[in-house]
Amino acid sequence: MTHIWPIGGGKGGSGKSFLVGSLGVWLADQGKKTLMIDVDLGAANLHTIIGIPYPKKNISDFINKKVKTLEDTVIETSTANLFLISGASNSLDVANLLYAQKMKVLRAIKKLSYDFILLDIGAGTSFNIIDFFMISDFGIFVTTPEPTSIENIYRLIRAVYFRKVKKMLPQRDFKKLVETALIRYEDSSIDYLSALVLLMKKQYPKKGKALERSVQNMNVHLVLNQLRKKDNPRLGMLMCEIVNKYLGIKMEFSGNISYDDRVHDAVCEKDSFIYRYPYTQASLDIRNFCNNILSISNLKSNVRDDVLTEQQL
Amino acid sequence: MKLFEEHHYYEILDISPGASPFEIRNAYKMALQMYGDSSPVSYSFFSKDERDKLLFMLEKAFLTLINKETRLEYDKKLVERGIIDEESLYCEDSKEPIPIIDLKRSKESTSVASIPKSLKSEAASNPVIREILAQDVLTGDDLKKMREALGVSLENISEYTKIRIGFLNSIEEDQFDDLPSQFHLRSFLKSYLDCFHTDSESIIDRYMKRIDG
Repeated sequence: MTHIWPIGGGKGGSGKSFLVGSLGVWLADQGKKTLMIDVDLGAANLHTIIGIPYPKKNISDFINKKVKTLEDTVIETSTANLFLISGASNSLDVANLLYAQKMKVLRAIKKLSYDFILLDIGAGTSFNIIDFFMISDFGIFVTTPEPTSIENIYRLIRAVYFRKVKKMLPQRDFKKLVETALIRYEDSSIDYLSALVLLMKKQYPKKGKALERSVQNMNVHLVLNQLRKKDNPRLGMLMCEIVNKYLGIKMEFSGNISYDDRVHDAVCEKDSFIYRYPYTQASLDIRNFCNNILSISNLKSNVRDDVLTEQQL
Repeated sequence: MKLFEEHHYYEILDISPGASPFEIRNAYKMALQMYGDSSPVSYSFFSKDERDKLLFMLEKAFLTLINKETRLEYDKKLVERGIIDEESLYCEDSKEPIPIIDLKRSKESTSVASIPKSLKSEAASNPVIREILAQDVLTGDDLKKMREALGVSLENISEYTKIRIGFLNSIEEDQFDDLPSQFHLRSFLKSYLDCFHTDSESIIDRYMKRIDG
């Protein structure tokens, strides 16, 4: 059974590609057949992080039908069991995928057969990013202790939730819902998203229930990267508490990863940090995080079809 | 997700309805850390209005619950509305310490049961008992029958010999393993049998034959 783990996080530079690379290498070393896919289409970095500067194939080849299947774009890496679908040398407008192309890629990813598929999702909250997040009930959000990063995480979570609501209704009905929410809850202190959800449950009780189920199945994990000595180590856990309490989404804290200057060195050398500096606190933290992810995967099954069956647009 | 206006004070502070004032104070402190203006945790999560309202509710919750009378009133309202159980409310009465020496213990229970000496002569003349004692090997059941023939209860023997009734039971049920050791078994048997037999040694031997054999 294939475990699909989208890894993203709102803010650029928080360490997503770095963590995907580290997690990929670690899983491969554990004997798991691991595929990393760089879906940060306009700003692909994964190949650089793991030291393949000139990948011979990339995901655009599949999107532009140069090759028939997504599997044809997979390349080997210098680590056994570890494979990559690169985003390098993509056509320069690949970031603006058409809806149909995006669905094609999503469907193809789900047909792949590996022990683990790690998706390096880009920053921001555009649809292309959010929809790749929704491919699986699991997800990893990467944040740093800075308010800018934290801000983007909250925004991303809300955007994912919002997209789920939107996908439940035909465009016209959704627009009406939004208008009603704005009017009815304008003066109250609850936020726009909660108002929408409440209204939806009232007006479309069956879909409201389906939405609730879909949200309850979400199993996201937060990892706090680049934690410096002065930062509050409980920050990540408290963020999860807030999300659980006020958004009703199950966000679990997956660990802190200490800041280390040497990460910069490893990235510049295009070398794996946990190989190069295995005895640093950061490497220890990364290995803990990887262990965490592996044990969670061992507990639960991952495949779901909601993304594709809920298409209404 | 619930509107936070719908949360009751205990939910807002994230404590159980039975929380002590110490816990309430602590919870409020933690909440301020989490929802305060300068907190990085909740930065951008709430709008300015939401945050102000939240801080206001937190303060209200704290002030209501930290004061005994207002808390009582509030708790009553919650119980009436069926929101919380009465049992889970905070009970201020601290438990009394359990006295080490129980001076109030009644005198009756200290009497020691007595086994009449006549039992021994009765046992010697009782036909049932004589028949059982004629056997070469004796089982726990035999002992039980003899005891019952004399109309003595196991409780009586236990009180008199000060041997735990469980052990006596085990002896009568042939559950040898329940006894701490064979030495104990013999010793208990002797005390037990001395209550109504003069010749306990041979009875013991015949009982023990089954274990050694």
